[in-house]
Amino acid sequence: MNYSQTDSAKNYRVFFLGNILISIGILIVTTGGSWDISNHLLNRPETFFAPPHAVLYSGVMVALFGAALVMLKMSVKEIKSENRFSIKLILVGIVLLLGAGPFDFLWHSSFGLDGLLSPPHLALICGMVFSSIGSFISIAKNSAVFVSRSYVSKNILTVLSIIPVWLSVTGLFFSFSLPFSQTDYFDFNPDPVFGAIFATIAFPFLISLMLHMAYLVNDRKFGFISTTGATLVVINMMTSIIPNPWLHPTVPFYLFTIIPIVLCDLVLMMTKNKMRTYLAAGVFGMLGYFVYYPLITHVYNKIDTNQIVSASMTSKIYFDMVLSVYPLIAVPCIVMGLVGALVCHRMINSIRRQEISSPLS
Amino acid sequence: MKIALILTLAGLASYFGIVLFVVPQEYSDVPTLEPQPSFDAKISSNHIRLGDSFDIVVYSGNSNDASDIQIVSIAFPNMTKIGSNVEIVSYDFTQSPRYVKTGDKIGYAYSGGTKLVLAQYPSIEAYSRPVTPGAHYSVELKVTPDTVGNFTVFVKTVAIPHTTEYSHYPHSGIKDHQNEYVESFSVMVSQ
Repeated sequence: MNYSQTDSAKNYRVFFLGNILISIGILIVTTGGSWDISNHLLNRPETFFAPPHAVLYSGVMVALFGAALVMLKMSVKEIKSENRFSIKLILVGIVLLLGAGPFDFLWHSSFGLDGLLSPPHLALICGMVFSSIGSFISIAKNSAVFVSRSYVSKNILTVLSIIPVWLSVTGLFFSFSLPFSQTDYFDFNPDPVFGAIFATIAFPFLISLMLHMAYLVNDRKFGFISTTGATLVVINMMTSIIPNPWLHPTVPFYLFTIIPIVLCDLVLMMTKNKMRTYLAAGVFGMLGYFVYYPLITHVYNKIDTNQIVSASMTSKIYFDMVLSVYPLIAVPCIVMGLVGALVCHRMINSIRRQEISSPLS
Repeated sequence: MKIALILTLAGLASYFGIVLFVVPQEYSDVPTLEPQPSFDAKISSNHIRLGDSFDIVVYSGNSNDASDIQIVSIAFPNMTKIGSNVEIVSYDFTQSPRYVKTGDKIGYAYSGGTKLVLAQYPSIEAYSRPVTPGAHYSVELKVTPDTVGNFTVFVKTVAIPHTTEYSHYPHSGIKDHQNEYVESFSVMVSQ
C-alpha cells in the first residue's frame, strides 16, 4: 500500500471505515436478532414494531451505509487488487441482506408467522455471515496501517470485526439445531438427534475458531482472547438471559464462563510450546455447553428429558441435564475445539500468504 | 512462571468442577412455579332454534404462582370444522388465538406437546404468556350450531409449567380427546 499520496490514503480510510460500519451494522443486526429470539420465547410478539426489530433494522441500515462506502472505493485499483475476495463476500452478503427483506415480507404474506429456519431467514443469516466475514478480512488486512500502535484500538477493532462473524455464524448453527421452525405450513425443525449432534460439533468448533482468530490476528498477544470472549458472553447475557426474569439468578453462573477464557489466554501467554494451543483449544471446545446457555437447553432437552422448556423452567432443565449430557459431549467438544484451532491457523496462514503475495504481484 | 501455569491449570480444573458438580445442585433446588388456573364460563341460552346463535363467555384467572403460559381451550365435539359457525366477539388474551382443526397434532395428558395425539374435533385456544397471579383474561364466542340436537361445548384451562394437579382446571369430571379434564356445556338446538 502506498499512502504517500493524499488521495490514496483517503480512499483507504473510506474503504476501511466502510468495512467497520458493515461490522458494526451486522453486530447490531445479530444482537437485535438474538434479543428477538428471546422475546419470541417469552412473549411471542405479533407486531412488527417491536424494539428488537427496531435494533435489527437499524443495524441493516448501518451495514448498508458501510457497504455503500466500500462500493464507492472498490473500483480503486490498489484496493480492488488487495481486497478482491473480501469485497466479493461483502457484495454477495449485502445482496442477500437486501433480497431477504422483500422475500421475508412475501413469505409472511403467504404463510403467516414463520419459524427460525425459513428460506428468507436463511438468506438473511447467510447475508450476515458473508458480509461480516468479508469486512473482517478487510479489517484484519488493513488494520495494521490504521491502528498499529494502540492496544486499546486493536482490541476494539478485534471485537468489532470478530463478534459479528461469531454471532451471525451462531445464528446459522442455531437454525439447524433449535426446534423453533415448525409453523402451520412448514416443519423445518431439525430432527432432535441431528440437532443435538450438530450443536455438539458446530459450537465448540466455532468458539475455538473465533477465539484463536482473535489471538492470531493480533500476533499472539495477551488480552484479545479475553476481550473477545468476554464481549460475546456479555452480549449473550444481555440478549438471552436478561430479557427473561426467571434466568436472572443464573447471571453469575453465566458470567463465570469468562474465567476459563481468561485463564486460557494466560496459559497461551505464559508458555511457548504447542501443548498450550492444544490445551486452550480443548478448553474452548468444552465451553460449548456453557457459552450457549440458555438456548442450548432447547437442543439437548429434545433428546434428554423432553420437557416443555418454558421461561421459568429453562434454567432448571438446563442444570438437571448437565450431568447426563455433558459426559456424552465432552470428548467430541474437545476434538472440535482442536479442529477449530487447526482450521484457524490454516486460515490465518492463507490470509498472510495473500498479504505477502499481493504487493509482489 | 511454572507456578503461575500450575495455578492457572488448577483454576481451569476448579471451573469445570464447580460448573459441573456445584452450580447445578444449587440451581436445581430452586422450587418450580405452581400456578393454579381457573375459569368461569357462561352461556347466553340453553335452548335455541337451528340457525340462531348463542354466546359463550369464558373468564379465566390464575392464582398462587405466575404461569409462563395459560391456555383456555373451547372445543366443539359436535363439529368437524369451525368455519364460519364460530366467531370471536371479544378477546383480551395477550396472544392471538390458535385454531385447532380436526386431525391436527395436539398435546396429550397435560404434556404440553411433548406427547401428541390427533385432534378428533375442532377447538379454539386462547392464551396469554406470562400470566401473573390475579390476572384475568376473557374470550367471548358467538356460536351458530349447524345441526339439530344437543350441541356440546367443552371448556378447560391449562397452565405451563404444569407441576401439580391444580395446574389445570377442572380437576375432575369428563375427559376430552386429549385425556384432559373439561367442563361440558350443552345447548339444545331445535328445528
